[in-house]
Amino acid sequence: MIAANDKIIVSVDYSQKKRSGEILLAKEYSHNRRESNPVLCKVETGNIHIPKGIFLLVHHNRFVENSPHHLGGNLYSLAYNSSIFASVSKTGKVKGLCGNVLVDYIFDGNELTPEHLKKPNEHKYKVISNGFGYKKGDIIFAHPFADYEIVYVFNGNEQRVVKIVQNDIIGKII
Amino acid sequence: MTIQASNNNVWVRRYKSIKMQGGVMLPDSAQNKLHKGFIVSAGELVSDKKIKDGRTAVFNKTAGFEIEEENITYLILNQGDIIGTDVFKNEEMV
Repeated sequence: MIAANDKIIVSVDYSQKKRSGEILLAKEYSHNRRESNPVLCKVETGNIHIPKGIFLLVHHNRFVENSPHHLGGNLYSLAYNSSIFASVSKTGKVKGLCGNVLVDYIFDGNELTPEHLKKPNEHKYKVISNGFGYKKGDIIFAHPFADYEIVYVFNGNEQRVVKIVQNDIIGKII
Repeated sequence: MTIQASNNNVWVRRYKSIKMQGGVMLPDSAQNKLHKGFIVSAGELVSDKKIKDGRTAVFNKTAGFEIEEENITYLILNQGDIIGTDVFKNEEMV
């Protein structure tokens, strides 16, 4: 199958978020797709921006079985927009895509502060991947609650990465 | 430390309000905050060229949010929150 209109086709491993013997409290109230749906997919047909064969981190609501973008089996069609968060290389290195800047938390406190009292600063972040005018290691500031934590399983290990939409960034230290 | 604003955000340091009542200087907690400040940095998407670093901004009373960095309190404003600009006033800042 060949993708059209700048779209890409990806395959998803549904088992990546299935955990056994663990109680997910959020399900008590409603079906929490963020906990249950996969976010990591492999590109089967790329476009000019995304090559074939790499892994992508995508918004969890993209991989729903009754989605109109479900092509059957484990194949989905994705439009190239900001719901594609990042690419993951074969070595596990992540890179932000479509206006998403990947960052890490900066914890308040000094070396004397006990670990349990260290809290992430709600405005200040450290960039972990180059792109969109920001370099790895830059200290940036963002709107409150701009951070979005992506949890994914890569090579059997649970990984976490935080992304901020480029438009939510309010400044950087130069 | 130098801060560079991004997008259409403007970083402002508020001027200090010094009020006297009956010859007695009121403490900071009893004074209203001024709606004027020094523009530290304006983002690259700020379209109004009068809103630029080093000028004085006059802004809406409830606009923006504050960030404290290295004991300096900055007010983060959107371009649309600024209602006027003026030349730099050599006033004490918060």
